Amino acid sequence: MRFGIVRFPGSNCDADCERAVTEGLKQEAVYLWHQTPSLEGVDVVLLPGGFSYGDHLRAGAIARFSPIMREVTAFARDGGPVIGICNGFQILCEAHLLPGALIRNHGLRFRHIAVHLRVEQTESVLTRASGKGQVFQMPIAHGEGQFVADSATLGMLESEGRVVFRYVDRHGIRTDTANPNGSQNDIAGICNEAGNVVGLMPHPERAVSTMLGGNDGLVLLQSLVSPVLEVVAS
Amino acid sequence: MANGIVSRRHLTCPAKSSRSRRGAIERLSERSLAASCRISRQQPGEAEIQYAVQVRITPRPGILDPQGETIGRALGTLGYDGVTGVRMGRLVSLQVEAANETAARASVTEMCERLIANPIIEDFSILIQESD
Repeated sequence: MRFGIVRFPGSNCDADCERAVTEGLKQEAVYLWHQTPSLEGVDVVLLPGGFSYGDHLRAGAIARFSPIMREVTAFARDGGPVIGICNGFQILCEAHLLPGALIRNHGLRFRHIAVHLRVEQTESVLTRASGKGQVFQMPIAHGEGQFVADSATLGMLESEGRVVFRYVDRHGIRTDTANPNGSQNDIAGICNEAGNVVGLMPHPERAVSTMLGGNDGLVLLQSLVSPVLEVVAS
Repeated sequence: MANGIVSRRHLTCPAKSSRSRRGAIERLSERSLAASCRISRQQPGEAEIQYAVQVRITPRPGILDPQGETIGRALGTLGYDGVTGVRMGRLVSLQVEAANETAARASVTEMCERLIANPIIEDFSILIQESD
């Protein structure tokens, strides 16, 4: 299976994604430069974290117009798995591949801590190998991760089961202090209607080794490969 | 200012999406209406006019504004009591060439909807002045 990792000027989690894919998932990874109008036949697209275009104007606002994003949009519309992590999530929202927006954290602080996420649904490409209610620990590192949407959009996300992850405490319980950025409804990640486009602020690619504080991220990313491996086996 | 005429109007333009399009308020002053009519009567082939444009971007009502809140708290700390509703936005200024003010405004509105503002979280208003 071939993973495409999109590199924008200012991406800085691209190498983490590459290692998570090659060493963690044991799959092939290729970097895709944002100016290239081709996905080079990859099976999964990862939009990594970072500060694409220096976060000028709004986080993700400029990257959205990179030539490769037209390809990513077409790939997503055809059902291809697209995962946006941190800045990648911001780009997916700016590109209208996911609803809502990510604004400055509550309290204006850049938060870089380990958080706990609860899996809210197992229909998305990133959670289909997880259990509903399962709690994962992984890091966040962002200044603009407060998820906001108007009440109609928020209601739609909730009623359609498109909230994929919520911030919780280590026991899996929602509390005010467990939410690191003020996101509405404690939302840490959402997906599109079909479940093939997922955006999340926490970094699964930074939690792939027990030597570095845990491998919960790897367990999560495993969802991207397991269905295909099953197909290969049969 | 060309001909000494100040052509200026202030317009709140929510974006294309039907949700935000509703409630769009357009306020035209008599003078600016006259000015834009004057310009739009230009014949094709006439020189384009240079406009100085300012786009004011503000958080939409109901959207949390952590920066505005922080400024409000700091003002309170400084002893300015009774200050409420502090909201922080951005100002983008640009020079635009267009046949007339209507065309300039249409063009800038599109720019705002596509890039300069994010209609999900931000409102924008456009101020246009004829420049030299």
